Amino acid sequence: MEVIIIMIKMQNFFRKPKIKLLLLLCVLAVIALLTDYNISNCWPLLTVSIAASIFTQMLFFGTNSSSSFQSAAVTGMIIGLLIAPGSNLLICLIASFTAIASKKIIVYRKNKHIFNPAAFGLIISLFIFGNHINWWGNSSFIIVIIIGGFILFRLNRLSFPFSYFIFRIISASILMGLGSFISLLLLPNLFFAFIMLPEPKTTPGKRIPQWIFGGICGILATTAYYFIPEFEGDLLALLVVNLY
Amino acid sequence: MASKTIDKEMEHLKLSGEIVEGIRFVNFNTYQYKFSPDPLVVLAGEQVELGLQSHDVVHGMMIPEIDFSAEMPLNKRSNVKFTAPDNPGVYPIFCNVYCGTDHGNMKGRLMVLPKPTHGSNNHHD
Repeated sequence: MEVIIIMIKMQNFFRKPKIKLLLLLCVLAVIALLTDYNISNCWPLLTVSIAASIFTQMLFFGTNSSSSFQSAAVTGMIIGLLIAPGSNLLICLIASFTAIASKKIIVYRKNKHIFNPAAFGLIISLFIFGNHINWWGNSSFIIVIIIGGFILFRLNRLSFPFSYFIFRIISASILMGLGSFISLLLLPNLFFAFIMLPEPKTTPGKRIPQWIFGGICGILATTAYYFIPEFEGDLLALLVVNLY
Repeated sequence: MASKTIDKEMEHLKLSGEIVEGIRFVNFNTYQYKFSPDPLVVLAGEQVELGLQSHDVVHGMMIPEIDFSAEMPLNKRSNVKFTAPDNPGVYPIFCNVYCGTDHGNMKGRLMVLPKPTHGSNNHHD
């Protein structure tokens, strides 16, 4: 009987979207490490980002909910998977702290935070330290599409990557010339589209607003990459669209 | 930092570029998703000037361990300078301007060789 109860609890645990997302991020980290990223450079980034995020979560929100720890772990893991291996760990620390702090400080009615925490923390770190982001965790676009797509399908949020993808390609073709080989090479960032963009608390829940949100984000990202390529257009575009 | 295999590789490496007015000058190019030359080989502590150019889309070049980063413009060359680290070894180079789906795997290596105690090394690529 106890075994059955434990199994049911385990099943319920792994049904949670945040746990699935954490597992996806772990798989991407492992793939990146197996395909010749140096573990001694990557491990500290992930450890510091996750620990700093969870600590900041406890500092601002207390220790009540396990769900909020899972959110903090997701934020920390995303930050750790984006900052280039070998970078100063202070960058991870500041990015993680500002990411979680923004959930407490930059809020509107009902204490809902406005900005995607990971994107906010990373953009702040970019202003302070320069761009140290290389998206090393974006190690397998096939897994991002399959597992990320499955998670989003279950959450009814697949409109985000689709609309982002379509409008990113259209705007790139317009800006750089239709049929341009270069615009075809500028394939959208799938890690961003499937993992960061659809964050439930800072994005709309209904389908048409999701399409508008993703579409505007795609257009803004293309524009930002075109005019200020060194400035992580995707993250910047997401923060702007979060105001929508 | 360097493993035995890398130590062995480093023994047979030629220094990149050439010395121009006391500074090592290297034309450094990028394509989706690689850097050239790879590895970029320099001597510990020397002044390095890179002529950066991208040949397909805009790329970036970042060496996190020495806090160096620069944009690599498309179809035009821009020159940047940095001082090579004092510690010999291998330092990863990454692209820090999103350049396509395999951007996260775009890597190169800066190989820093120990400074020779006497004489000079004039090997070129």
